Amino acid sequence: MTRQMPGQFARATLGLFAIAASAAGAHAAPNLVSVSGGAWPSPDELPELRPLAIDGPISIDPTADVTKRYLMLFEFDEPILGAKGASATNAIVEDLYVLDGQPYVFVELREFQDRTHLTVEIDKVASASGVFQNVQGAVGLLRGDYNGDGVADAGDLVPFLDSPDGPDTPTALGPNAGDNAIDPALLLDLAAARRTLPNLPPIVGEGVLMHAAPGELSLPKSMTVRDDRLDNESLEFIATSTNPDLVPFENIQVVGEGSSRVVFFRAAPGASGACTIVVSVLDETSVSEALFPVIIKPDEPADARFSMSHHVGRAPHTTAFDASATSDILDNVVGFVWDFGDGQTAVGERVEHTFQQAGSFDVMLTAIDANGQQATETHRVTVSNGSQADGGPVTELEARRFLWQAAFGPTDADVADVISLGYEGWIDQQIASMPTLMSYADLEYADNQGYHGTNPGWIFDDYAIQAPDQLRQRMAWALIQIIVMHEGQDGSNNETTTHYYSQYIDQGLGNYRDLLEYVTFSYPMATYLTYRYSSKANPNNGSVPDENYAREIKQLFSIGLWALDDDGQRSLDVFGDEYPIYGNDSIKEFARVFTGLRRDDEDINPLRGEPYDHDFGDKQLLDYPGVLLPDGVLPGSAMTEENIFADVQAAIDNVFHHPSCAPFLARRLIQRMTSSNPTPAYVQRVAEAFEGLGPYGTGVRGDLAATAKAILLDPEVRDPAYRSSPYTGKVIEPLIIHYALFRILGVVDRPSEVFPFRYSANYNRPFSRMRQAFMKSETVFNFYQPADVPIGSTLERASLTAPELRIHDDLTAIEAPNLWMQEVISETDDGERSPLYDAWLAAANGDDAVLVDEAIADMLHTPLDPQVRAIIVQAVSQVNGDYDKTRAVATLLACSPDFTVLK
Amino acid sequence: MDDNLGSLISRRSFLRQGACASLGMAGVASQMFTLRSVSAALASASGLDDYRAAVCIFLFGGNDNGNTIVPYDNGPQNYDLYATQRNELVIPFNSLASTVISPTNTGGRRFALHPELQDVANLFNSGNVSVAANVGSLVEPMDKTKWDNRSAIRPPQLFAHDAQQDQWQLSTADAMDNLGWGGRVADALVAGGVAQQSNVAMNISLQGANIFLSGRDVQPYIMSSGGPKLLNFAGNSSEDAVLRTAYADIMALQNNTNFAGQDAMKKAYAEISARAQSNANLVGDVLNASTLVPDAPPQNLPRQLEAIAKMIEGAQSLGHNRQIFFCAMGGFDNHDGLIGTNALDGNHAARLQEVNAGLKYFWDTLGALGLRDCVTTFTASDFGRTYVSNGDGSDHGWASDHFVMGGNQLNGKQMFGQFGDIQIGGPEDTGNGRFIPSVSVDAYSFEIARWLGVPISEMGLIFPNLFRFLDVNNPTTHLGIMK
Repeated sequence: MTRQMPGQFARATLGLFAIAASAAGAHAAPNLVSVSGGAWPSPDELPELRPLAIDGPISIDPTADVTKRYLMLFEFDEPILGAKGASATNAIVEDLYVLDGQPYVFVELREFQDRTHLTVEIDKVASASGVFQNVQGAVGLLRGDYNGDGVADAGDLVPFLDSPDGPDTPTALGPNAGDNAIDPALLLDLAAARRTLPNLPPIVGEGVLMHAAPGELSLPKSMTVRDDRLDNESLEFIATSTNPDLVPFENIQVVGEGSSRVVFFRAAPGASGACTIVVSVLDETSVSEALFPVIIKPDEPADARFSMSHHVGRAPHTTAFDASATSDILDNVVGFVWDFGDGQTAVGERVEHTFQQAGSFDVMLTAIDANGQQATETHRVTVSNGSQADGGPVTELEARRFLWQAAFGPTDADVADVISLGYEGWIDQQIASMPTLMSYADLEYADNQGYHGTNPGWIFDDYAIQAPDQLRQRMAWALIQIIVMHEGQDGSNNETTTHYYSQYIDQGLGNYRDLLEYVTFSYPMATYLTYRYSSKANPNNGSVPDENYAREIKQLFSIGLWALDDDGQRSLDVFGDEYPIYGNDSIKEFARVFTGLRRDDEDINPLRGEPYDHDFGDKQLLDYPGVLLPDGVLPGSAMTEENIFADVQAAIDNVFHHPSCAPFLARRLIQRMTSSNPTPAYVQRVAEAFEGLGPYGTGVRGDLAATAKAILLDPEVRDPAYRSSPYTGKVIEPLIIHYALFRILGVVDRPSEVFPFRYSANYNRPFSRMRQAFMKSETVFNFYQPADVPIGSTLERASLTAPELRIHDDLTAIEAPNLWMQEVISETDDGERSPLYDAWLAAANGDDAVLVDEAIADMLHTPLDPQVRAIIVQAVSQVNGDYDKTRAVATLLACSPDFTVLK
Repeated sequence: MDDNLGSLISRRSFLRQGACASLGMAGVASQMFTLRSVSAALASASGLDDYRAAVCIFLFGGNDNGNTIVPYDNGPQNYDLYATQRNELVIPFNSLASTVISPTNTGGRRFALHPELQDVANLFNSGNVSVAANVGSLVEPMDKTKWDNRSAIRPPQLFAHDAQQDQWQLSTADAMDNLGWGGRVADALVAGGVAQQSNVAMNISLQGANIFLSGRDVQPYIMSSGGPKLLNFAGNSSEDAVLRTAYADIMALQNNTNFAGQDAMKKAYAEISARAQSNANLVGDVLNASTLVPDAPPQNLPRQLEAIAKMIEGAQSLGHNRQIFFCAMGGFDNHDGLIGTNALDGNHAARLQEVNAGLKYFWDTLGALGLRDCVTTFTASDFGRTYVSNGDGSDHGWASDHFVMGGNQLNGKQMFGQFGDIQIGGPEDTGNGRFIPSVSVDAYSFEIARWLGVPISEMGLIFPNLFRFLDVNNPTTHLGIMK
């Protein structure tokens, strides 16, 4: 059970679909009210009949298992006395009978093709008034895995009410006047009908993993059983194990009644190992088995884990601690004790604590199991006194660090600007600057200069390294990691790709709504996410609108899957559960919006509308407090191109104004710029700016300039007190390191060329060595995902993330530094070599330690650890040749964690 | 059994993470996966000592299937039809005599391989190669009627290199993630306890990062045929050694709990860097320790297969009882220059010569290793090419034919799937001889996955569209390439 947002999707239940019916008909005849179909009902619902029931979805595999039975219910506005002559398409009628005034039809699905109709008809039913009439119930569409849950099953039977054909397409045909005579011979004998059902084996649930210590009782695990014929009390249970030395048969108990049973066992004394408990469930003629894997080993301390809601904050600082991720092989943890490191303690699985003073606090959780064994886990909470919440004086080192967050790394000129303007002044200057947009003419010019091609990546490299509007370019790069596009899969010429990315630049400090609109109407996106051919549903061939963009515009480009609070934490319903914002039904509704959009004459033009292919019916978009459309319903409209555009605009507005949109995007943008693990408080402040509120808000929702400012000026990234936290900051993207090295070292690859850095943009190479390159993400999910974290790391144990480490691996850990070395650091020709090298050498005058310190001062964004420095000095002293030394120190610095991790 | 317990427990902690990180239904799927995997692990605990490896040879650019396997006999789909359909591209009949293959299951119908594939033809006729015919990426079964009225879902971006390469590697043509089928198979083998875990990933790419070998937990180990890449900061070996040591020392600092600069973010970064370096060293040692693998012909594909053979020879040192390899060669996108003066020279002939040399070398080498029955080699490619000639080349197509090579594990000397109708404009043509596949990549991949030991119960999760093409529980619906 979960809370529903008012008017939003109803959670799909496996079972009975209600279908509207036209109620017109002869008044003497019963009116068909509805036809519904679904899995067999549970015995509780129809105890007299005791039909086969299922416990959860059963698979309809059209090739493997063509005989799945379904029950169709026909409801009338008055009791039915008799029924005869049922038939069905795509199914075999197995049984028809009337009970309690209602006809029931049992059908077996035939092997079906995706998107075929399942219809069930009853030739005649008789009402109490003695009127026989014909009725037909069209039950729905049979699909493959329509609901996307991984199996083709009952959940994929789509009632026409929700069908893409629209609510008007034939549901149940109204009653027709028919034969007035009741023929008692045609009334079915219920007992006989029951006998026609074959006896099927009991259905038992899947066994789950069980644990026990030697000689000890296991925890009980439940299992569910159902039988088509025997009542569940009469089933017989026989439990054995595959290794009686570990689990003697007589030590296994199956208790309980009805369909709910419980299994537990006592392990043999001294046993250790694994086996399987087999619970056989017998009815009159057949048997089913449930397998319970069993592990027996001595009790061990738990694997203690906990998460912190706010790992950093300003005193007095309150944070919630949650130990529910703690696990124990025997599941017997009985107590959680907390030592907050400030002299305070608490007990409980979930606790909250306020740190009154500034400082670093090592918070230790002790998890105690039933045998008194203890396990501990320690994470740090870092509390600031807030005296430098604005970051304090803008020193050269601080300015460098800031430019790693706000630009593609620092240059001396930018450092000087930041120092003179201050952080906010520099940001304001960036906002006021002209956008440096990509120009296809530049590429054509280069092509004419013998470049053999027009690769938009050349401009991207050029702008990352030298464009003056660095913050805008950096935001554009962040945005295309949210609204992902692959240049090889946009189906467009390079001029269009150039134009496309220019909109990301143009809106980098513009408005997210404008970007989303451009993207949605762009031919590259319509190609990449496949809606350029999408048309309204066609009942003649069963085709339905493409759902690709409908899914991603919500899941990835605006609101995500889960309802979010204003601070980006998942909302909880009244039961304390997270809940999804929408289901597949909603995606289908949005898919109807993105129909009839077609390529215009040129790739570069916005899509045109093809009214014949668009679905102009009512569409249920998302409903939420403050939604623009009443109840979230987009009303149907006349068949014009303008109305297609209006539908699409309404859908964009519908997601853009959703309350989850601001926190969803805020967290992603923070992760790209400053911090992998922003606290909810930080996310909320940035989300407010996105909404036009707070100290940086401009009153305009979607304002990305205000958002960028909030991201960069937040105390959580400026206050130096937080740098000592082990969890703050982020791993710098390898592509950004690549560009930053050009900027820091002042290396110019080919000074005389149109694109002096274009060799770095032979961008199969960056991609193969760094797993990152301009518009090269392999999927719409970007190079890495927001929750990515190395398994087994301290970060993972604290439920924190480090997305960029997804692309730091056996290959890139070596190849990326090699690439930086080859492409940037090792330039040796005069005029291309870093001018810093000569400066370092001159200052060092033969002293390697001084050389290293000079390099550190120019390259690092935070102080280098002295032990790391000592290792580098030692190594450089073993390298001969001046420029060999400068290259060695630059390369070792570039791959040391103090450089690659931006605190 | 104790080792198995260890892997179960670590798998368990992994899955907790997987469930957190997953999107939507994936969390539920992961939970189902755990339960089944645990059962699988317990069931398979005794079978850890057998060794099996699969080797994927990817022909980038789209192999011209029309000139790879040619109808040879009379009949409605005969050589004459081939000759009239392919026009300038045709291989002369009298050049095909020595590469005729006689499948045992085509009712006597014979075919001929491209003349450059002489050794492959010999291996076919000796029962160590089979052909999977008419394979292509499919979302669901497709035919001309469904194609015309769009009543079956078409794979996205048909005929486009990027997308079709991806789809072959994903197997699931409409997948929305980038987990390849080789990666998913490895995930299942590790989770099920079938494959041993090792620091060096069991999936090994000779062609950089790729989708095929990327799983949720198993990420490919990437090396070149010359061996793993090492840090190359200085350009001379003695100074490189110094700098590599410094790199290792810097990374090791983060593992020292007394280190004042310790930081969770930096530590996570440094651990991966350190592992990368130690794996590179280990793999380098394995390659150097090889004694049984002869030098390959000095060509790209054979040299990759030489490195693979050495990794197979060193599997025990690497801690592997299952390996999946990815190697590849390019140059198949022959819109022009497919033929030279005739079909016996030109680009395609040169490419196939290398394929032939590679397979011959690898087969001989596996013989020297005594592992022919343990290694299955198969080809893949973006797509087939148009049957229509564009003058001296062919364009992007769809269905194509592929080779599978192996010892006793293979049902050899057979053709699986129906050889396609080569009539241009015929009942399988979507235009210009872009033929509709009758065999899905899923069905083809499933054969390899099954042989590697993926439990049947896991197949639905690894190949979510598979049920549309066959019944995993019913062998008569399988292609049956592998025994």
